[in-house]
Amino acid sequence: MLVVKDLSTYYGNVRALEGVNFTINDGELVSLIGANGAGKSTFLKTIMGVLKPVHGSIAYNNEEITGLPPHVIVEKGIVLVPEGRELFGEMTILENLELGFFKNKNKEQGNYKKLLAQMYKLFPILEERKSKKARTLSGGQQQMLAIARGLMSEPKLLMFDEPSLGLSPVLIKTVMDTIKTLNNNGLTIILVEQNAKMALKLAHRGYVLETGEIVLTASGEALLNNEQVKQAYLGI
Amino acid sequence: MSGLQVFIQQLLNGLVIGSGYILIATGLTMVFGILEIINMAQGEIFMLGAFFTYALINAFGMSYFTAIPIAVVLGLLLGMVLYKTTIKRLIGKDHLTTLLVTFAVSTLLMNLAQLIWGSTPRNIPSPLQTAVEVGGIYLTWQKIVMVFAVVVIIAVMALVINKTMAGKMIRACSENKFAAGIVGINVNKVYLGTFILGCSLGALAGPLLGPITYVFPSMGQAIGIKAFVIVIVGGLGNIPGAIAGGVVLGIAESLGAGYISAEWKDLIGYLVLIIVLMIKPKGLLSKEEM
Ligand SMILES: Nc1ncnc2c1ncn2[C@@H]1O[C@H](COP(=O)(O)OP(=O)(O)O)[C@@H](O)[C@H]1O
Ligand SMILES: [Mg+2]
Repeated sequence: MLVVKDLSTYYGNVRALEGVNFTINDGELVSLIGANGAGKSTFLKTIMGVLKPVHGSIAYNNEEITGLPPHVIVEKGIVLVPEGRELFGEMTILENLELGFFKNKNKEQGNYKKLLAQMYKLFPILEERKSKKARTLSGGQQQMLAIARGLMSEPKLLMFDEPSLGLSPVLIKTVMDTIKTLNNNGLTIILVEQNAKMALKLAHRGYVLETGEIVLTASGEALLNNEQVKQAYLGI
Repeated sequence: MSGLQVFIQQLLNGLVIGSGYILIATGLTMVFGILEIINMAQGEIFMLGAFFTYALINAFGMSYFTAIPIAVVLGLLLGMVLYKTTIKRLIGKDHLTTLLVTFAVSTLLMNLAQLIWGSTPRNIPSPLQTAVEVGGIYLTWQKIVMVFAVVVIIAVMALVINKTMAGKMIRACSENKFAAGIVGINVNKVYLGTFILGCSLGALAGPLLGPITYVFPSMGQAIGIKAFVIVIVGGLGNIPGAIAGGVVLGIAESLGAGYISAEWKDLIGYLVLIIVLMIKPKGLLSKEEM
């Protein structure tokens, strides 16, 4: 579905990604793990078109999408649930969800009500508080809204950037279960996490990113049992 | 005239001028809220709105009421040209650069107007110049219509911003451009739309205020700086703040001119700025106290 070749992204002269190769197939859940500052968010932002790579290519369903702006990328079905939620805090929960559906503005609107009902079923708290401002939600509720906003965009490839960040263990489990269920229902997912153990348990395959370069890739299980990964990321 | 009548008269005159400030400052603050650019040429857009109206009436024999919408459309087109040639390149640049460049644009536009129309003050002939008297207070229809026009425009804008998808796009971009982009909003389009809307509001103030003041190439300078003051007093990017700031400045100037001295009129504006910023550094309507 997505094939990334030799991707490099810089912030000015500072290298954040160098020669990254990455593939995800239809229906897979692939985790990308790495320490803080390894370049995980940079990778997702580059796919999303928020950052322009200095070289390399990104192909989505055999179509070159490198360098396209974010609003075009999302129209193609690649959706990001960003690190730190990045909600519209001064807007209501309903408006946030409505904006999630924004890319369909020119298409038939029939799906909107259906999707909204699905989101409310998935996260009932969002319906309860739909006319409240998003910033009034707790951290966990904000993460749910961020996920729901992403789902309102009808993703074909959904990318999560550290969805567990700042959540309590109970909420982390809820979020991870949601991600697993979405994948079981056929959605292709890239999961970026610092919490490597959790992410690798969930994933079919995983990649390990270190200072901007992919150093390892294998099945989730193989990575969990890999000595290098155990030492560096699992604290064993 | 009794003391009370004089006071009310000054208050109303202040409201009229204030409503002109509101149009210009609202456009300015919207542009800042989205593009993070202070457009120092906003006063010149206002000046050109007035000159376009003057020219349409005098050179093409149009009526005042036909000339207004055409002048606004010309202001909008000018905004589009400015955006495509200059403003677009200033997005994300530091404030010193944007101030200098838009200041250069303002000087250019002023000199262009000087070249075309000369510096003699012109008069926009408006059919609304007849006066009405209520309880010893005098107002021209021009002033009454102007205040009502501004009230209607603000109500429509509030509706658009709060209820329509275009408004949601604008609010989304002003809050979080990254998030706006990843939900599918073309942020560059919102930049352009906001800038030409800001210019249209400034241009509309021209034909409305023009018949009350006079029309001359440097008329945009003082008012541009005042709009800047209002935007800061109201809180950068804060539309209700700009509206409140416009009213306050208009009334403060008018009362100052009436009770102290007409020469003090402009000084009072800056005095208001300094006082407000001392009490509320983030602007008139900010929630945070010092
Ligand atoms: N806006 C930025 N400007 C400059 N450097 C940045 C910026 N964002 C991230 N970086 C740097 O790029 C590297 C990768 O960052 P990031 O992709 O956020 O890592 P991760 O998501 O894996 O924690 C880090 O060294 C970080 O300091
Ligand atoms: Mg990150």
